[in-house]
Amino acid sequence: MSTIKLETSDGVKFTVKTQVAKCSGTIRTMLEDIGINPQDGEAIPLSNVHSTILQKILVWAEHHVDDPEPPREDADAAKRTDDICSWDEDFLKVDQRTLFDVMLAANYLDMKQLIAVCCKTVANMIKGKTADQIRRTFNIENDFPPGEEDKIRLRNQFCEERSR
Amino acid sequence: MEFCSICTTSFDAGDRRIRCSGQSCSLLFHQRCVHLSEDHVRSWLEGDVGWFWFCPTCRVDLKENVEGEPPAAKRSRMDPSPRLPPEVWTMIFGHLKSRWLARVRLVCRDWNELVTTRSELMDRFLLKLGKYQVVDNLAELRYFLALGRGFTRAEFNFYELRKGQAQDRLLLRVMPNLKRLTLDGCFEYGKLAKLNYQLTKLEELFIFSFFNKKHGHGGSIFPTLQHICPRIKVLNISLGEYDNFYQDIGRFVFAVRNTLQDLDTAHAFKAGKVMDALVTMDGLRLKRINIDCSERDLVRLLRRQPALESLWFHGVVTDASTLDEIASILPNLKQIILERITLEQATPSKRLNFPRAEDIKVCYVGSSDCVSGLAYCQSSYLQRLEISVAYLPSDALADLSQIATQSVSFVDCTVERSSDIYSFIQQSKSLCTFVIKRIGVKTVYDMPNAAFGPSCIRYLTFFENSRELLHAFVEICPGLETVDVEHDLVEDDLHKMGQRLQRLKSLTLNGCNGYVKAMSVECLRQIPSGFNELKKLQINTWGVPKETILEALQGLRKDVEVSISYW
Repeated sequence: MSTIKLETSDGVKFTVKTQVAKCSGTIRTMLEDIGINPQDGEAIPLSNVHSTILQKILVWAEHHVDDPEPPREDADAAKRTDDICSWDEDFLKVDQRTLFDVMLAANYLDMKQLIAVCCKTVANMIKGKTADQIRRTFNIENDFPPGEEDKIRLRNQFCEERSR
Repeated sequence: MEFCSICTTSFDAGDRRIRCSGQSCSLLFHQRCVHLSEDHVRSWLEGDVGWFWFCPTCRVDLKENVEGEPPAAKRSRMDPSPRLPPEVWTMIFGHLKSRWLARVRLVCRDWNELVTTRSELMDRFLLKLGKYQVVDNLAELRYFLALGRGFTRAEFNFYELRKGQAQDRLLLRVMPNLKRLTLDGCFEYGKLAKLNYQLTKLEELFIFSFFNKKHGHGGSIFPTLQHICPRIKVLNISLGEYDNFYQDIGRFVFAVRNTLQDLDTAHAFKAGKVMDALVTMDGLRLKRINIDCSERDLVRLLRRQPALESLWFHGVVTDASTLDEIASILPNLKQIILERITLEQATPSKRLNFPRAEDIKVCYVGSSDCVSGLAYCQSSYLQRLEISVAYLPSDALADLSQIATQSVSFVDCTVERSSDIYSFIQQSKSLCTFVIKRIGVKTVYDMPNAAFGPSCIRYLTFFENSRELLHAFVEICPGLETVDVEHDLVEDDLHKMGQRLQRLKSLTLNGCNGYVKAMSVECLRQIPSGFNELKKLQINTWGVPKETILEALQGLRKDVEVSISYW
């Protein structure tokens, strides 16, 4: 089985099955379009990804390497968030920092399925919370000028769930 | 059951469970799997520090840097979470309905801006203005106006526009991004729209009820709108007639003829009076029409609309040659809904053949020839066939079973014997989804005998009272995967289903206690003991407390997703 080497931002080198590495759109493009030759033994530098995160991402890719292409979803409608498989759910039981690092890396590596499942996880962290609870969850400062928040709340009163 | 996240086996009685202290992690591990010595554990449990152990994922990276990176690259747990770029947040928000998006907007300025500037997210909000939502002070009004800008959908629902109130005069002007506008019960005392407003993005216009103090029902809304929203694609009018009604409609359609694709007037008027205008209008290229007129007028109109894909006709089809003509004018029709079809007149051919039809629905079917005629539909694209209010004699059903479609619905139909239906679903080889609602049986309810082989249907919707029929379906459709049932269910029914339907994954029960359709809570007790493959259970009920239902479902496997909703 062919393998390639990946080098992370902190200088750690990983030897990975080519098929697993190709879960990343970025690496796939490098190999197929730009024509980097993995046989050279030269490691592909991933300057935005730390070794701890890449290790985690490779575990995910290894598990999902044979997944079929997902069906296209309607971009307009709110997508489901209750269809995360239990393996992924366990996989993403990590602290928020790691979760965000994984998302940033997945975004950089262009791994659509992994981003999607992370987005669902974060969306589930938002659902059911008040604005204040959301701020505390993600450590966000309320930067509205005094009174502004109430005004947006007033505007929200006029909105209803889309009926269609 | 709890299990170790490394070896994935469960814990024995004597095992110590090691829990990760990572924020929102709390995974459990065997002490041996994480190589923790007894000394370690004791020092945490007995010392002042308390439990403080992190699993490999949550742990600070203490590993020596491999190729001499500067120490600054080391990660510390105390660092704040990295910031996600806006495009990632937008993807996350894409999973939220407007209810939660509204909360997101309150979190901080960046998030508010992120939501309000993305039209795919704003499309989920519907600005709904009703009678009791009147903004009456100037400060509120200012914010209200700012709010209008982002909205792409608005609905006026029993809203009164009072003369002299500033916001009323401005309402539509401050919503330049509207794509969809619904006027349902709008009382105009002032003016909703003026000629100098621009709604250039408005594509869908629904006018259900509109009243103007001066001009009465219907008012003078069309002459104004035809000037300010030139790009209407969808027009749905369900409005009482007024003096210049037909003239206004004709002019409006003319003004938007180049963009209009979908015209729905069937609930407003018989189209006879505007038909001449529609037939002679150059540039009108409709894809979908919902209309009530005479057969002759319909054919006249269709001759001029070769791009039509969907036809919903509310008039009466008395002559089979009308159908032949429609089929020859529009061979590419995808959706056909005929509300009344009698075929009383002499019928040279009784066939309903639309070669590219995907979806056919016929209602109030006056002759059984017409049902048989459907069987001649040669479309290999046909996905759905629905017959409502019809008598389905044995031979017509036998003919119909030859049609190649995946989904068939019979709603308010009558058959001779119930076995006609069994043989229908058994002989329809491509049938996958079957919907049956309120079926009448003329002579006899008979059970399927041994001669019936199993049917291949997988999805069944059963809204019907007959117990014989339900049991017969369970008997002859062992491959059912999804069942949606509204019925006076008793224990025996669910017991039979649980034993026989070994592939059932999703079950929906519709019923309420002591009201129209009863569903005894007792019968739910049968569910945990059968249904080995069940993944999803939905109960739609009325008047039965959630606790009672959950109590009855005790013992149900944990991996079955149960949802209960109330009408």
